[in-house]
Amino acid sequence: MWVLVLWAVSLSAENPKLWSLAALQSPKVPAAGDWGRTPVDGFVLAKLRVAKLQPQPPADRYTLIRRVTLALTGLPPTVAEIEQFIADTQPGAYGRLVDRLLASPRFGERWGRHWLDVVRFGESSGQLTVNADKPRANVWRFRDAVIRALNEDVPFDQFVRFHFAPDEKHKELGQFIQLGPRLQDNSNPNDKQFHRLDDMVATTGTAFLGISFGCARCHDHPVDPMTTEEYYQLTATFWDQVKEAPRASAKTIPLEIKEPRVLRRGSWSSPGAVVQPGFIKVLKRKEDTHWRTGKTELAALGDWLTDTEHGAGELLARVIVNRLWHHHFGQGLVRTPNDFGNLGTPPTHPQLLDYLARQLIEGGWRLKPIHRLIVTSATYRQSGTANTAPMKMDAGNTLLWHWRPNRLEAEAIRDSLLAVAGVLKPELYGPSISIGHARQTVRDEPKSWRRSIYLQAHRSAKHPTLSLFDPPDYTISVGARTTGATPNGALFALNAPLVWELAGHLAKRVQTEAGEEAKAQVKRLYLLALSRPPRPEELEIGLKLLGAENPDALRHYCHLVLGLNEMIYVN
Amino acid sequence: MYPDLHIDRRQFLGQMSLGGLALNEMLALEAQGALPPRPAHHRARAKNVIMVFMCGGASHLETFDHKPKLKEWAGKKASEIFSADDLKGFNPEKTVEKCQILPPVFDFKQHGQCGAWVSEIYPRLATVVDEITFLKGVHTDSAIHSVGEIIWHTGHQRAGFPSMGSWVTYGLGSERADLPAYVVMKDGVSTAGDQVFQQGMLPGRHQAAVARVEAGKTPFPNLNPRPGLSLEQRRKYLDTLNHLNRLHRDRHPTQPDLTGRIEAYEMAFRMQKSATEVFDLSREPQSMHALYGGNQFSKHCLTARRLVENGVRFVEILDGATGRKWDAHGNRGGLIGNHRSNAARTDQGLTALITDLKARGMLDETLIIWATEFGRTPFEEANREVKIGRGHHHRGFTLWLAGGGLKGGLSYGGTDDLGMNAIHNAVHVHDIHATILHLLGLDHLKLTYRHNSRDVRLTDVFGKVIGDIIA
Repeated sequence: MWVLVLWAVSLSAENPKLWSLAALQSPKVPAAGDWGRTPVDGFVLAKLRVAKLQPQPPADRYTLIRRVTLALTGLPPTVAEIEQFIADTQPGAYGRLVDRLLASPRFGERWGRHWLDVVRFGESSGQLTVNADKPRANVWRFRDAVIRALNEDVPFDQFVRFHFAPDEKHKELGQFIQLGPRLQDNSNPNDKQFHRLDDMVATTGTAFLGISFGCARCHDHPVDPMTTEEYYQLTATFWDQVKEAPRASAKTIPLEIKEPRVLRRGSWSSPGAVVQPGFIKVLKRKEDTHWRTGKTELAALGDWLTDTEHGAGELLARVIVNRLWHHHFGQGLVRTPNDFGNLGTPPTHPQLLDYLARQLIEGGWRLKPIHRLIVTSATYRQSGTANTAPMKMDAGNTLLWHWRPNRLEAEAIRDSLLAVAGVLKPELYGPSISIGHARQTVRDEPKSWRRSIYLQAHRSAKHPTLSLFDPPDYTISVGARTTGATPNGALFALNAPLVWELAGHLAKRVQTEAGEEAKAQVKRLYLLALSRPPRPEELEIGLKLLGAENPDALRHYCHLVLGLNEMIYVN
Repeated sequence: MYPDLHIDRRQFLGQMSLGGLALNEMLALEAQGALPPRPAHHRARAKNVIMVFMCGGASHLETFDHKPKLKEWAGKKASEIFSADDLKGFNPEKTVEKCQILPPVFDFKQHGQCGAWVSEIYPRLATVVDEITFLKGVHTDSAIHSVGEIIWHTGHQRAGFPSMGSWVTYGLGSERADLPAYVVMKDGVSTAGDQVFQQGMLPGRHQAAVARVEAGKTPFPNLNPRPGLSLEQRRKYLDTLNHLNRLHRDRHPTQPDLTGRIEAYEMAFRMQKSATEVFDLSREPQSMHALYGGNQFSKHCLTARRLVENGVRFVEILDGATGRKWDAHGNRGGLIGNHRSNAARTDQGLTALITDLKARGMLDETLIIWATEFGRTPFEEANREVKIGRGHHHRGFTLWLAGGGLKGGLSYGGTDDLGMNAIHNAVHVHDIHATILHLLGLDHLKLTYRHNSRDVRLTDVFGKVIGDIIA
C-alpha cells in the first residue's frame, strides 16, 4: 500500500513518469531535403536516416486520388473527379484536391464514424436482456451533430467542451454523457447507478485522454496514473447525471449511496469516505477551484480537459492527433490509440506527435489543417513497394518507409460497393435506418442503401453486411478496429445475393457509360471500381471474360472485380 | 500473453521459435482467418469441447441434487429457516422471505458403480453416470437470466467480453482451415441474445459461426453458390480472381493480409463443400439416428459429434432458448411439466453423445460440458399463479462435465441439506472456467488479451483450477 502511495505522489505534474503526461515539447522541425513536402516529413525522414532506410517516391495520381478520397470521405472518387485531377497539370493540383475533399460534406460522414467509435455511440439501450435492448429514439441527433461539427471544423477543444456543456447550436452533442449502455430493468438500482457512473468516467478517460480508469474503480493500481479516490472524484462530477429510480422492475429497492463516496473494492455495499468532484492530480497544475468556480461540474470538467496551460489539454491534443494519424496510416504514432498509459505503447515518433499536437493547439484546435498537414506530406503520398528487403529492419512499417495497403472498415466497404454500383443514396442526416433486433435481422435491401453511418447502431442486432467486416463494439470506446480476412467475408464476396445484385447494377452502369465495346467496358469498370485504368494483362483478362459465351458475362466480370482485394485494401 | 495488435503478434511470432511452421506460413494462415494450431501451455487432456447450455436455469433439485430433507421442512417459510443474509442477492425484483419450502417433485435413485443420484426424468443419462463428473456445489454471481448467461459464457457480468469458445480458439487455434473453429447450434435466442457467444475484443476470426441445422438448408449464410455456374465455372472464376489478387499482392508484398484474403477465398471455396458435408446428417447410418433420436436437440448432438470428429475445436449447443425453456416458474408451465418435457427432449441426445464418443475412442479427448445459468430455489415462489414453480437460484446448483482428463463417476462438492448454499467444495463459475482451460492445456492466468489497458481474461481476476476432479 505504501509503495502505491509513494508511487502516486511521485507522479506529480512536475515530475511525470509516464511519457504521455510530460509537458508538450516544441520540437524543431528536422530538414527533409528535396523529398519533404510538409514538416511532418522532416520527423519521418530523420528516423529513416538513422535506420538507413529510404522513403518511397510519390504514388501515381490514380493511386493518390483514390487513397486520399477514401481517407477523407470514405468513398471512392467518381470517374469525373479522377479525370479532372488527372487533367489538372497546374502546380498544386493535389493540394486543391485535398481542399475540395476537406470541404465535402462526406468528410463529416467519414470522420464522424471514427469519432462515434470512440464515444461508444450506440442507438439501443444496451440492456443485456435482448428483449429490452430497445432502440433509443433521438440518439441519431448526436450522430448528426458530430457530422455537422466535423464538417464545420468546430475547434476540437470546443467540440470536446460541447460534449459536457453544449451551447444551443450544438446541444445534441451533450447526449454524449448518456450514450452508454444500461443494466437490465430488474437489476438492483444501486448496481444500475454505478454501472452508469463507471461508463461515464471510463469513456471520458479513454476517449479524450487515452487513459483507462478501469482498475482504479476497485483499487489503486500501478498502471493507472490515478488513485481510487480520484476515480470516485470523477464519479462525483457526473453524480447529478444519474438519476436512477429506486426500483428493480416493479419492486422498490432504496438507493444506498446518497452522495458521492469512495466505494471500497468498487462495491456500493462497502462505502468509504465522501468525495467532492475533482480532477486527476497528475494532469493539473492548479487547484480544482480554478475550473470549478462558478460553473456546473460538467462545464468545469470540459474546461479542465481542454485547458492546455493548467489542465489536461496537452494530453487531449496528443490523443486526438494520434487518432487522425491512426486512421490515415492504419496505425497511430502511438499504436494503442485508446491507451496512452503504462500498458500502451510509447510513440514511435514522439517529436512528431508533439509537433502535431502543438500545431493543433496553436492553430486554434482546428482539425482540418492537421488532416491537410498529414495527407499533403511526402510520407503520406509515398507509393507502395515490391521491395521486401527493408522488412528485415522494419516489418511493421513503424518508420513509414513505404505505403502499406490497409483494409477499409466495414462501413467504407459497404459504402464503396454501393457507390461503385451507382445505387448509394446521397442524403445526409436524419433518423437512422432500422436494422431489426436480435430476433429478426433485416436484409440489406435497396431502401437501406444509404451510407452505413445512417444504419442504426443497434447493440444486439447484427447487420448482415457490416457484421462480416469487424464492426465496432457499440457499448465501449473503441480506438482501433480489428481487420483481417475471414472466410465469412470471402463467402460474402463469392455468394451473397447482395453482391450479385450490385454486380447487376454495376454491369448496367458500365454498359450505359461505356457502350457495347468490350475494351471500353473493361476500362470503365476499372475506373469505376478501382479508380485507375487496367494494366495490359488485366485488360486482356477482362476481354477474355467478356468474350465468354454467357449472356451474363459482363455481370460476372463486374462481380469478380467487386471481390478483388484492391476494392477493400487501399493502395 | 498474446499482444493485442495484429502487428504486435507478428513481431512476437518473429521472436519466438516456431517449431515446425515457418513464420510466413503461420502469418499467412493467420491472416486468412484460419487459426493455425498453437502450442498449449501444458499437456492437454482434451482437444475439443462440446458445451450444452440449458437456457433458463435447470433445477438442481429436480435433476441431480437429491435433497430428501426438504420434505421435512415442506411448507415452512424461507424467512423461518434462512438468515436475512442468506436471502439477499436473489433476483432483486423478487421478494423471497415468505416463500415456502418445496420438496423435490421427482423421485431420485442412485445409479452406476459410482452411485450418483439422478432423478427419474433423466433415465437414459442415468445409465452413463460413471462417465460423468458432477459439480454439485456450484455458485455464480447473479440470479438474473441474462447476467447469469453472460457470466457463464464470458466470466464477466457485462457484455463485450469474449465467450469461452472464442477464448479456446484464441488459445489453441484450430486443426481445420476449411471449417470454423467455434460453432454454435441453437434453437432460438437466449435471454442475453447472441452476445453470449461473441468474441468481444478478440479479433473477428474468433467469432462463433452460428449454424442452422435443417435438412436441405445450408448451415451458414452465403454458402450456396450463386446460381447459373457449374462447379468448373466457379473454380475458373476463383482462379481468375486469385490470379488478379496475386498480381496485386506482388506489388504490395509487405501487407500479409493480402495473401491472407487470397487464402480466405480458397478456404471459403472449400467450405462450400466441407461445411455442407459435415452438417449433412443423411451421411450418418440409420443406427446413429436411432441412437441419438430424431428431435432438434438430438440432431444438434449428432452434428456436434461430427464437428469435433472433423476437428472443430469448440461446439456449443444452446438448448431451450426460445422462451427460456428451463425457466420453471409456476406461470411458465410449472416445474413438473417443464422439467419433465425438457429432460425427455434432451435425455437421449446427451446420452448418445457420451456413448457414441466413448465407442469411437473420442471421449478421452473431448470435453462435454452440461451447463445452465443457475439452479432453482428450495422454496416455491411467493405468488403461485397456476402451478408449482421455483425461482432463480445462484447460490448453489449443479453442472456436469464428462470426458477428457476427468475422473468420471464422481460427484464433487455439495449444497446444504436444503439445496440452498454450496457448502462442500464450493466452486464458482470462474473455477470451472479455469478447470476447463486447464484440461485443454491452457493456463487461465496466461491466456490474456490486452485491451484498453487491461489484460483481459476469461476468469477476470478470479478462478482456481479444481484439481480434485482431474484424473
